[in-house]
Amino acid sequence: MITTHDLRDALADLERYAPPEADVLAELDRRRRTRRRPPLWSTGLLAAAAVVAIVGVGASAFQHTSAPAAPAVISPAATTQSPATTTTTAPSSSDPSQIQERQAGERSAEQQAQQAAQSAEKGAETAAAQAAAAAATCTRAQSSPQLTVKGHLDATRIAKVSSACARAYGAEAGYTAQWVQTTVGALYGQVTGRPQRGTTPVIAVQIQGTLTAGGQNGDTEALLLVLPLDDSLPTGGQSTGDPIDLSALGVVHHI
Amino acid sequence: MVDGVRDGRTVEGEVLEFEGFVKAELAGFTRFAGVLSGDRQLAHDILIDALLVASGRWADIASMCNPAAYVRRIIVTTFLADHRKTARRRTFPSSHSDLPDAGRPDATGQVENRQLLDGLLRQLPRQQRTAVVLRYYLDYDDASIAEAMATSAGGVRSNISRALAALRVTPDILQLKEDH
Repeated sequence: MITTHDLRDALADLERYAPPEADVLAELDRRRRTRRRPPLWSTGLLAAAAVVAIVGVGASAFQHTSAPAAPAVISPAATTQSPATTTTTAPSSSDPSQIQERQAGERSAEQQAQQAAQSAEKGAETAAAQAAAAAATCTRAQSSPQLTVKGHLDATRIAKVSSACARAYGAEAGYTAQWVQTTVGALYGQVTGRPQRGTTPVIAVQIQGTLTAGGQNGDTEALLLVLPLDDSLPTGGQSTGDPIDLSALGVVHHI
Repeated sequence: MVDGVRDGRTVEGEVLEFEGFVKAELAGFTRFAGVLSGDRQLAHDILIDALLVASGRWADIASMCNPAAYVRRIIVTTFLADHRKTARRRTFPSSHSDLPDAGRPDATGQVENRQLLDGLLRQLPRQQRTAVVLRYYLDYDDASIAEAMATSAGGVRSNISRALAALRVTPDILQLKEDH
């Protein structure tokens, strides 16, 4: 006879299927870090989009909050206004000159809000264009030189690429640059926190400092460049975000 | 135990960080996920997915009086959703007694009973298994189970009743009783 006591024991026995806590913590940390790491340009675009949204909401809120609680009275002059403005027009005085003055003020505020929104929108477009330009500049710098001379790595050429990309992203004075020779698998394993396949050799260059151009707003801590050593990988690998531990990948060279 | 957590409940006036909460409650969550799924890899997957969901809603969850109960609820819904998605491609081993050349189980010990129950629990529909786990592993009442499974108390009673009936009338169990 199977009793509920046996059932409880059997269920408790199933605790043996509990996954190791360390594995869960490691995977959770990796997945959360992957979510947090922003793709290229996303920081600048997000900031610009947020500004647009805030300005838009602010303008809308201004329109709504400017309406007093008294019942609306539509003046003859208000017939040429937009419906939204008409419904919020509520003069506290019947003096035509005061009504016109207030309406002129409201129109002026509305125009200012629209101009601010347009300005923010242009700012977002500018940030995107700057990010694209920085990425293009950095990609060109990566693709121009061969990094090896007679089979040996040329640190001078790596430094040139690093400097060009640092300039493209507006790295402020005092930034540091390091590079290490590694493989694609090891590098992306370090970035993602999970073992990755790939034995193609690459040079990983990490520039740490304050990046103020190319769509970056100064909060970014690191720019990571992936420089292939042969034609098996495309050039232009670059991303911004949290710095990684290069020393885990091999001998670190300082530029 | 970390600041802000006492037996899965928040302590007034203390800030509850997600990382601290997970460290304090993870052992219980892993055991619960293992019992619920009966599969270590599946338990790992649903627990990760559930904790990611919880981290995304942490601002709201942290203000609850019992965040651990809410996270267990997310684990349940993740398990049920995952089961729906993977039921068609997931395979389960058959019980020993289903194999034509298998010997009859020795009915003299509780170990065999547990093995049988383990196999029978795997055969239960997901809703019934979840209800049984919440009732007999976590000692939830009908209302709490209904809330965790997003169903009615009547549905909970029905699921548990059918599950218990299935666990008791299975031929393996009858065979056991005959052996006694």
